[in-house]
Amino acid sequence: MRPMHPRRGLTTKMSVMIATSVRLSRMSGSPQPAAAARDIRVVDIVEQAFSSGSEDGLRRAFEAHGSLVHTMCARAHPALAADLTQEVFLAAWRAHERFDPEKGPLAAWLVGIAKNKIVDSYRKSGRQVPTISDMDGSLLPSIPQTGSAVDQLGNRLLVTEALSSLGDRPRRIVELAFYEDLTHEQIAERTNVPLGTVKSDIRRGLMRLRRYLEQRDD
Amino acid sequence: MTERTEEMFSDSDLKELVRSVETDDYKRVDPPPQVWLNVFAAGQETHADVGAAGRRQFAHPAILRVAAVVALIVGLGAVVLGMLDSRVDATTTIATAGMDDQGLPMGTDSRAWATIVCDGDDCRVDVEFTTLPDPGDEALELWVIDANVAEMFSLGEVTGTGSFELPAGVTHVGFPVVDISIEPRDGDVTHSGKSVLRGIFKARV
Repeated sequence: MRPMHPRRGLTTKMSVMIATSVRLSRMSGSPQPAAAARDIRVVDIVEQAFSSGSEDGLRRAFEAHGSLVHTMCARAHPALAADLTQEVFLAAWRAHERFDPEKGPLAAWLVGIAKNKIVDSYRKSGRQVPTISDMDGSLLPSIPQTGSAVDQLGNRLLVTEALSSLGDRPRRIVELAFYEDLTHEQIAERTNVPLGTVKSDIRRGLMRLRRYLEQRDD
Repeated sequence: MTERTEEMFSDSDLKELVRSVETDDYKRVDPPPQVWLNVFAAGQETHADVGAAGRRQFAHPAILRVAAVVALIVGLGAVVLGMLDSRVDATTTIATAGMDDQGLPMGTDSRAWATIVCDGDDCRVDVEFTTLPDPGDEALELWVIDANVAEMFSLGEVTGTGSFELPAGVTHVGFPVVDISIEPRDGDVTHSGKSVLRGIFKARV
């Protein structure tokens, strides 16, 4: 631990950084997965607080996943995004006893609830569930696969959550395998990582993706 | 609530799905602040109703809004105190700060929540993380900084959720900025300038 003495004479750079730290209006987040999460235990604290119904469980869940849920609602149903986000967290909180961290992450459980709330909202108003708007309001190309556009959006957001929860090296290796179609041997050669590590990183990456995408609520 | 059905993904399904992810899918939109206030107010009611007359159902957003407004008007003081004073010991929560990477050069998906808790004159900063930022081979360090960025205190190295003693006389009024930086292990005790999470303490009544 460093000694507790005031430090004087910060650089101009630091001053500028402080000045720019004023909260900006929304659209936060980085275009690429940012620094990796490496402390799963801390995430579990949020899930445990939530599932046990402890007093700050709702706050912790909202702090950790409010942006994910609101992003999903804002992209799927911009006009009702705030109401839907609110409904998702209240429905989740009322049902907190049914959330089981063993079956999957809280983020995936909340996205599942959000998907149902969004679709219900369109059905109640007699409107067809639309294609999904891009961040700038333009429409994404229609998605031909089975499953609704809302499902697809939820799955893509959960992929970003899953990949962002991997460490830098495994995420890079998974990206090389998926985006660039490299073989395990080619990845090992390019990254200078032992072949066995490459294989285990990819295996763990697939497990992490399935954990986020295949959660059951039963 | 309707059930979420299980989907099974083959390796090639997963590959296809990962490849369908676009840069925009990594962006996040924070909910407006009012959403949390409404959720909290209605959540308190839900919590209180459980075990009494059963769980109150909010079937419609309009009902939800009315309930939230009523709860806010009637019990704002209790709500704020209840939200912030979740501890059962004799300590007092003085100030809190949500910490994120907005405006900082080092991007992270991590978020943190810093709370100043005092027991008499002894105060500490409790820091909780959603996930810990990855400092690589370097260290994470917690700081409190004054509004003029002329003085700062290091509260110590951060290795996870924990408590950090505040030096006597240091308060959220004099040092409202709470900051976590990535520091090289080079013996230099000054701030590296590489801040990864930051927040502003807000007083609690």
